[in-house]
Amino acid sequence: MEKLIETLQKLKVIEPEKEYTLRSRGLIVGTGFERRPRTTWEVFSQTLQFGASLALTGLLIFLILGGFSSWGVFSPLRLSSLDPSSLRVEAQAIDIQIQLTNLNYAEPAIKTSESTQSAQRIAPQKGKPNEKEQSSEKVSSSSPSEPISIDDALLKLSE
Amino acid sequence: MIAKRIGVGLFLGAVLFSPYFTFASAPPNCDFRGQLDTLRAVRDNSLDYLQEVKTELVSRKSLLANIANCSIEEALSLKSRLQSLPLKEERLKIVQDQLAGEIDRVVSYYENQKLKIQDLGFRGTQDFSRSLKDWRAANYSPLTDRVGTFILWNDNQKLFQTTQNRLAQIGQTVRIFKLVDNEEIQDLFQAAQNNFREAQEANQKVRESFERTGSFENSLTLMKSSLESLAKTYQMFFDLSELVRKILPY
Amino acid sequence: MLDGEENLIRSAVKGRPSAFGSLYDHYQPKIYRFVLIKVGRREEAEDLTHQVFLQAWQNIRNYQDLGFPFSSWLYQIARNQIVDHYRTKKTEADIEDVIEELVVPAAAQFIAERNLELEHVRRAIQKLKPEHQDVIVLRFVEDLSIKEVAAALQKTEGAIKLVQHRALKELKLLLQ
Repeated sequence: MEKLIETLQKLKVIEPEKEYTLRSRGLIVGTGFERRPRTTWEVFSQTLQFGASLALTGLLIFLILGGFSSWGVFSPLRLSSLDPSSLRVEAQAIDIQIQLTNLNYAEPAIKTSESTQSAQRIAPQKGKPNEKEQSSEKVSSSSPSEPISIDDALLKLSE
Repeated sequence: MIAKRIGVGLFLGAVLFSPYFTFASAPPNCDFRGQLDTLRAVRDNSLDYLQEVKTELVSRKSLLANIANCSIEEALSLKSRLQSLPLKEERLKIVQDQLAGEIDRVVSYYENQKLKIQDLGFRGTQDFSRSLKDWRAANYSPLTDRVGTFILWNDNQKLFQTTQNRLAQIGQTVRIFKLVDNEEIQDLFQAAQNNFREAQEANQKVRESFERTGSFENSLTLMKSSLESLAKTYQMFFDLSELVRKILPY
Repeated sequence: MLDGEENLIRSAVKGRPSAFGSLYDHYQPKIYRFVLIKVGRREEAEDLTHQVFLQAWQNIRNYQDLGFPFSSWLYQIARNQIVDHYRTKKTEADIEDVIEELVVPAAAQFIAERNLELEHVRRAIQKLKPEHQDVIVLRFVEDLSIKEVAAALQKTEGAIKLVQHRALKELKLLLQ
């Protein structure tokens, strides 16, 4: 029984892929949910807030029309700096760059040989020089849709 | 006279239809599966051994020529991508030119190798393939890593500019709405600034290593670190957004 | 349990994304492991794990600390997600079982080092009843206590001990 438990403990090696984790985390934690009110008080306070924002908008219009020199100071446009959807777009751009960096970080990188197909993929496919058999197996048993890289073709011709 | 015309016609035909000559306007077909299948079919279906060897040799040379053309195409695409970077700083342009120069040398190598293909025998095609593959692993691969890192780093600079602008805007918002006295907001904003500073420091180290030493060692690690700090900065922005929305109506 | 978990949960309940992010970082690998051992396919495990945390974040406001670990709540969500998933996949289940039997490399894909022994154990676990699978994985892979497993599976501690005994016996027979 102890041996069985020891074996079960070995399953701890299972872990998710880093790229997936980054992507999933970004999508979940990056979302700013509008939480629906749960209690009457929250409904009431949200209504109060809405009323207050109406009043604030009215004041701003007054300030703008009134030509006060500080008209820009209380502009609601200032709050666009904290708008979640635009923050999300920018955060996702960072996330994409992290994934690309990880792709280039992994050795050897597997990329298509047609660099025009994807502007972000830069290096060509690399074969593994010490794994001749694996590569040739890969070439002969790879699916019809997968392109064969320059290095794989050279490996095949060298046999 | 007629013989001369026939000779010229044959020569032109050889030039236009020979796989050993690049026809500049038609891009090479870099999906080698078809040619490899043809090679396999020659081996599997041939009844006459001598015929098999001759036919296979022709197929092998054709494939090698195609590979050489595709390798050149690949290198030129990489150079084009490198040269399309909108660099303003002189020192970075020097790095760009150095890398482009290395790609030119790679293309020259491929062109020279291509000329040897037509004289290869069967064994020669095997040795040639092995040798080219090894050369690519030793020379071209590391070059593409360096170019790729440089291009990636360049693309990152836009993100830094965006983050800096965002930080400035948020700072202004916090001040204008007098939220700066709120301790939680203060902490979050400070954390955002610290993360951004860390990101900038790592980014600067990469820039310095490119400019001063032309070295790309550790660049990817530093780049990853700088991007992760940028991501943390945005996490603080999201937290600030949630908090401010609770305090202020909008 | 994560250090400072109580504070993190409190912050997350208030809607602080970075707090939930820390909880995600700590629990995501465990939930993923739990799901993958049960469903056997990486893509499905990724989708389901993502759904678990999305649902947790969307409903975190409803989370109440009743003296049970936060992980128990996540495991409950995970179990429900797996049940729902199999309900919608019912018509395809038979075909996919056959494919999984035939295509050995695909079944072994989740184990990075092609460890046949672990794959053998994983397949054996999959043959257990769902409740037995849960107890085996939570107790012996994720090292949860009897109390924590009981909270996750909404059973008494006594019931969990009994299930554990039966599950281990059955698993041992399957592996022999």
